[in-house]
Amino acid sequence: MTAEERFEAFEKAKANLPDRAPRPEGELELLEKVWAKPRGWRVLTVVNNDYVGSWYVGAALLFFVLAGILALLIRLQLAMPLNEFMGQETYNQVFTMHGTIMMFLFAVPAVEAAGVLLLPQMFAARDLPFPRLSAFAFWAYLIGGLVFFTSLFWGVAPDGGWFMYPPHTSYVFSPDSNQDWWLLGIGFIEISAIAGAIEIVVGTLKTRSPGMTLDKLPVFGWAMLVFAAMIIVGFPAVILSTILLELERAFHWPFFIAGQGGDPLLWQHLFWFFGHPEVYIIFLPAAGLMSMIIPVVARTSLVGYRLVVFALIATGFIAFGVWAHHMFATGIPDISVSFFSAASMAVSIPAGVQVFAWIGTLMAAKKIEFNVPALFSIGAIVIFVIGGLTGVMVAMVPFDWQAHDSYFVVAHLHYVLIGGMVFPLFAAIYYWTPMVSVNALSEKRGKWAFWLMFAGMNLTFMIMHWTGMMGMPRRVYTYLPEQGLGTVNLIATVGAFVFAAGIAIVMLDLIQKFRFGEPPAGNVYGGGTLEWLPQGDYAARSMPVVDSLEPLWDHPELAEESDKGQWFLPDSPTGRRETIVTSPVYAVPQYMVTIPGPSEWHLFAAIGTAGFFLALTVKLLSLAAVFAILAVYSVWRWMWELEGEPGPDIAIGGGMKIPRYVSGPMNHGVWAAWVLVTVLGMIFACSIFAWFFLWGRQPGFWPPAGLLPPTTDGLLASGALYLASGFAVWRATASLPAKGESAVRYALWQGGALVLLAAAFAVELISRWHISPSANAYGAMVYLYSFLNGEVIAMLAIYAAFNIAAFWKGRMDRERRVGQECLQILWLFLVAQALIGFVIVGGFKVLA
Amino acid sequence: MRAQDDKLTPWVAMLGPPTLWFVHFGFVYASASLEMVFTERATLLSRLVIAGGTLLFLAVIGWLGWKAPRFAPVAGKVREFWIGVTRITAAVSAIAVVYQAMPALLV
Repeated sequence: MTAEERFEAFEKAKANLPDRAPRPEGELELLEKVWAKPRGWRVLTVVNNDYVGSWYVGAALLFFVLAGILALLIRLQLAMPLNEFMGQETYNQVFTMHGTIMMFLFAVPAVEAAGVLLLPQMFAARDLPFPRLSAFAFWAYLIGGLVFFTSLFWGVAPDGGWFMYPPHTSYVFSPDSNQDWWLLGIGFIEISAIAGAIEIVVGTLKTRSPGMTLDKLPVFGWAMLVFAAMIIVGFPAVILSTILLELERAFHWPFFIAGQGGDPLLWQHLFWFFGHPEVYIIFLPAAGLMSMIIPVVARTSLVGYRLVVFALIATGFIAFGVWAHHMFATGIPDISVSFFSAASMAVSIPAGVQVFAWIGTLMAAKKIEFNVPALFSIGAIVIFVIGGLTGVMVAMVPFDWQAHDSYFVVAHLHYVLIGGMVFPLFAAIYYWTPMVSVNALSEKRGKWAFWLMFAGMNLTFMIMHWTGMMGMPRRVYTYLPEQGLGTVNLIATVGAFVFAAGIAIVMLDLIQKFRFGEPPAGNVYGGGTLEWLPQGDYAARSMPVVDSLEPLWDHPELAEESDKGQWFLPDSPTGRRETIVTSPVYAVPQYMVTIPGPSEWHLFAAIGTAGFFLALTVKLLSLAAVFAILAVYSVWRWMWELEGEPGPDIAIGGGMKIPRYVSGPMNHGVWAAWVLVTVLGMIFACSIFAWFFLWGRQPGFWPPAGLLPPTTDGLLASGALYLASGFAVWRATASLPAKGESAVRYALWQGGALVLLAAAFAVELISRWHISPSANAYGAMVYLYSFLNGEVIAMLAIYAAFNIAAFWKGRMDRERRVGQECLQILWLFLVAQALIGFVIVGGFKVLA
Repeated sequence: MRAQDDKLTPWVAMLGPPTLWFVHFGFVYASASLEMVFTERATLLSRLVIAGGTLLFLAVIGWLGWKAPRFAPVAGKVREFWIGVTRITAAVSAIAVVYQAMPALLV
């Protein structure tokens, strides 16, 4: 069926809906049975997004409380000069863990959790397309995060600050395992963030309610789309930098050691290329939540929807051009810092557009209902604007030189993050709890909580602008009585406890009131978007066609029609979990995707992954191998159950029929493979930056005198073998036989491709065998390219073995070919990566 | 008519201006840095390269904004939305490109 024919069929189907004929008997019961959640201990195997999303938010709040307790300990230490509440070593660990947990284990997972919880409901989809991936991300994060936190109790917690600058954090000055625990904790969040981003990009573009064109996408959907894209572009920088630091710490590859041709500033560039966009990665989804809540409390549509979409997109891009404003004091040249200063000031324009859209919406209201979500939203605007204004101040280089590393910066970042993320999240918790819980939260307690948090926050952090201007440096465990800062610090400490009291009220209310169950409390605040359709385990009973941004305000009857099954997909036609995959712009139904149900395998995969990295951190290599086998086996079993089965087209309502299996560029799995390729490509791009950066710092050192680069013959031979393996995998895909036909050609091509790949990698290593990776930065960089190739090769080998096994068991053939298509995409990426790496390494040889 | 739904063209056109804004940022930063590797300071050469490159970037961004209707999805309200967002983004990207090239003239 062509795109034209699909569109025409969809138009006809829309005209036939809602279908008011009575639904067949037993249909709803089957739907309920198919989507039912396991009970007892098997509840751990649940993949339904309402449970996983709620657990995910709950876990993020747990880490928020834990890191908040650490903040209180910090404030107790600073309450008076020369305090001896805790020693310097402990203080370093506590403030490092506070920052790391808040940024990595609370803020990013919390907004990602909000996406998992809310997006399918906002799209009236049954679920996102990869629910086990979301559940895996959650479990890996929870297990890894908790173990990471316990490092505090053993006194081995990281103590290098949340941005972990080498050379202090490298093996020379930090030989103990403390910093390895940081790298471990970050590893988990990297895995779960990338997994979540893949889910959100594909889910937002491919599983919306039929007819929900992009101009009717809820703003939160746009925000999450930009958020996920930013993770895909930004996280690879921190993935690479953590790989580099671990390679330096474990094997002494000197990427950051100046005496051996490395440069500690390389870490800062890579870390902040991720680290500043990270602020927007946190802020944009929260802004998306605000843009959903404010129109409801103002009872009017969001002012400037298009402008807000523009602001989200623009922020997403320019956020990547401001990283060096964290490095103004490092001595980089004036003209370079001026570029970053200009970009940093420019980014306030889209942020300002968002804020004015919210203020405009509130001003357009006839009457604002000052409920708890409204209070937290308005409080967020006030706090965020203050943080934004001090942001423009520190974007100016001369001012930044004065305020750098002082409490002024601490005040600025807390205003931005609390106003830009914490308050919107609390507004969202109040607003959306009734969607999944049988009870709404208490308005009365919520108002108490808001005023305590608002007052406490300002009491704590407003003062820090002043203490910073008076020269109080951040990250120092005490100060002298003569500095005259004792009273104001005591006030800040009191403020922190007032803030904490507000949070405690919300937590107690959540513990007392939040209960899963049927029916949920529902639309208590009167929202107009699709998540407020009546819900069961299967999400909305049927998927309505929407014609506005607040469909339930414009067509209140939609709720009843959807619940009676009068719109698309009111049933479970294949008797399995499924949802409709739609086209990215017009949301025209394309095919039916089978969604995996509850399983223990993603849970075991998470345990295996967590165990593997933990065992490596404590250097128990045999145990690490056992966990690695568990992880690979579990992922294998998990994937084994995934592929849908071809069969006759399926009726989805209104007379429209769609296929139950498609391969090629329309398939959601192929999309996910492309997203993964983008992530891998960005890691590689960051490694190219690292190469040129280190060369640029010491041009005469590249390679150092007396060291020969990799051999030309070796590079050429290895390149030819990589190309040949790419050709072989392409032939393997093309020669997939139909069901029942001979498999010899496929097996030969695919097996040959693997052999060629192994040979290519072996020759690549031989070409650089005379170079030592630990002698100097040049050698380390040369081997880094091989390390990156080797990682992808290991993944491809497992994947190819899986495909051959799937083929053997009759689970793959010419028609069911998505697994092989994804393998081919990743394989061809590897060939390109290897060849570009050879050109760079060999090209420098020619120049030399 | 709807075949564009499966194409990348509308996305490239909408995301083109902010992408160029970001790429231009990399361009000005890299131009100055590269010259400093060899000469230790950014001389007239890199500043002229930045000025010339900036004009080129502006031309492409302007063209994408002007031609927005040509690349937008072809029908429905989403077309109007697409053109609107593309043009706002192009306008702001153009201003930002000029703004962030200014240090090459002033510093």
